[in-house]
Amino acid sequence: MPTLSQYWFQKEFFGGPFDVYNVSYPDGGWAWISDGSKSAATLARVRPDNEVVIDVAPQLNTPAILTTIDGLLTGGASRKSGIMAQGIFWANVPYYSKNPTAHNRSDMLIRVYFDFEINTPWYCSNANGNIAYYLFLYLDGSGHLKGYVDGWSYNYSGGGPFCTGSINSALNNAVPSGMSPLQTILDNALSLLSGSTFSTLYYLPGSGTNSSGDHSENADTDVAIAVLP
Amino acid sequence: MTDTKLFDLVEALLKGEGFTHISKTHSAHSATMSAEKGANRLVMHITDQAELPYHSLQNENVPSPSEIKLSARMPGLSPDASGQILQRAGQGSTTGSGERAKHQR
Repeated sequence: MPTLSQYWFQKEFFGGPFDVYNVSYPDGGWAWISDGSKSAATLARVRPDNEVVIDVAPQLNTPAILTTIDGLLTGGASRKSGIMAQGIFWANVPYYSKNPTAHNRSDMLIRVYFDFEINTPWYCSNANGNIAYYLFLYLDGSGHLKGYVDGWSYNYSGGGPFCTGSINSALNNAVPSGMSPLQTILDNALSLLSGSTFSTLYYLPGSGTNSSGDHSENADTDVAIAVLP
Repeated sequence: MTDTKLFDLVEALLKGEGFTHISKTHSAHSATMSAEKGANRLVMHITDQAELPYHSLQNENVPSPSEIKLSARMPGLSPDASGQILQRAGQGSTTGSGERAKHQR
């Protein structure tokens, strides 16, 4: 039986902490929904039984992938978090303004990111920030699920007063070089579905769970890819 | 005078004055040298522009748009209603009142 998933975002649509309530939902059923708690946005979807869901963050936090990423970080930089993933609207991607027509404005990408720290010489403060890659997934003309690394970004605080230049130089070398191994990781993950074709692709906040009942998750740290035959 | 020549001159001067642990770093728009002499520490920095602590770039090697039949889009939004995106994504909607009854059939 299909599942009705109701998402209640505490701060913003498709972002931050949220609650999801899943319940079996027969064809033609009614849903009466009200919310007495403070929520900034809601989202509801009837999810069919043949929905295929890929929870992204756990796929990325394998020892092999973490080792690959750690190997890219040089120059005193170190990873300070696991790998997180979130759905992000194209207009909110940092390089959107450089080429706005690269995607449709309503397109969503997956932001894969992690926190990092860079130790600096005595005359500068250490830098803390995050490194992000943006994945664009799509169905091709044959209905196969494909994707590519659309771009990258970094931002940090600290590094002053004299070290932002050297930090940027290190990151400008290291971060783009992560696109190739990430593409390989993405290709390997999507190859598991290469034998199937799909008609619909969408993202769900958090793990994409459809298990019955209440769940509290965070859309800033996980996102799920969902496809329908 | 390039910063390299300047740094070489200053480094020679510092060594002559007994400074040790002389280190030099370079970036696209700056160069920094530091040195120590006992409890004294020295740093010299040259830059021709501020370097901001963020950067982003789109991948130039991506598939042709013609290969893309369907992409993931903002849920609940028709493809041509792009003007609503930022408003809806950033502000959400108002909430109701009363006890939360999530689902009834």
